[in-house]
Amino acid sequence: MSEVYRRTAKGDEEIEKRTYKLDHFHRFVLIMINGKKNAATIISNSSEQWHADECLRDLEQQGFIVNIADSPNSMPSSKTGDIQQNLIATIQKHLPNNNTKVINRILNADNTHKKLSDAIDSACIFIKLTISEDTAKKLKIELHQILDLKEDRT
Amino acid sequence: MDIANYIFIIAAALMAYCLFLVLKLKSQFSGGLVGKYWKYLTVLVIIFTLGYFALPFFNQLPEHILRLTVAGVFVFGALYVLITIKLIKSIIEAFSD
Repeated sequence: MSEVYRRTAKGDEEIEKRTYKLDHFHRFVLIMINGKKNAATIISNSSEQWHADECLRDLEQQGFIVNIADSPNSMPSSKTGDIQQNLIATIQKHLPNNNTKVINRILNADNTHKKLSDAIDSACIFIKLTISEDTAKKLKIELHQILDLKEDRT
Repeated sequence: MDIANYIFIIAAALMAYCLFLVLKLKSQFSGGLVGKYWKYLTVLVIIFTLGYFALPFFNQLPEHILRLTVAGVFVFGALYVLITIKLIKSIIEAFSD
């Protein structure tokens, strides 16, 4: 599990345009790929139900990712999907359990500021209604901060 | 059997189904606004279910107890409607925030 993956052009295209229509679990794992985390870290950061190990294998076989562990001079992953990855990591921090529906809202959003902002609002309403009002309030502020920070940098 | 008895049976069956639904959906709310009101709704549905299934024995009750029971049904019915309205209001507010 020492493999370090980066996304290929095909992987970036899938995140941006959903050309290949990957299912949620494969998409989630694909978004986590950043050319830095090794496979073990990605698997440990994933929910068991996503079967991240199988997803990594499938993604590699289908050419969405490549193993760069043996070639340290390879190009790092592009920034595509990094915002979603940060948003998901923040959600996991505040909501360690029962976060599938919330994360799916972020994953299903197109990678634009407006769509991600709408997805955050929708996810926070869901949390407010079914999980915790306080968590929803904190998460909404933090997720929008991440989104706005990334927007300012670009 | 009197037609009223058939209606009682249908009512009890419907309420039993409501109890099943309310308990099944409960696992989907660990908290939040809906989770808060859902607890009260669950208690009320349990009370109603018990009351509906006790209906065949109501004719054995003294009249003043029967009157109290009917009054209780009215109070709990009103509470149920109140909680439902407040729940809907909370959901609308959550979406309009």
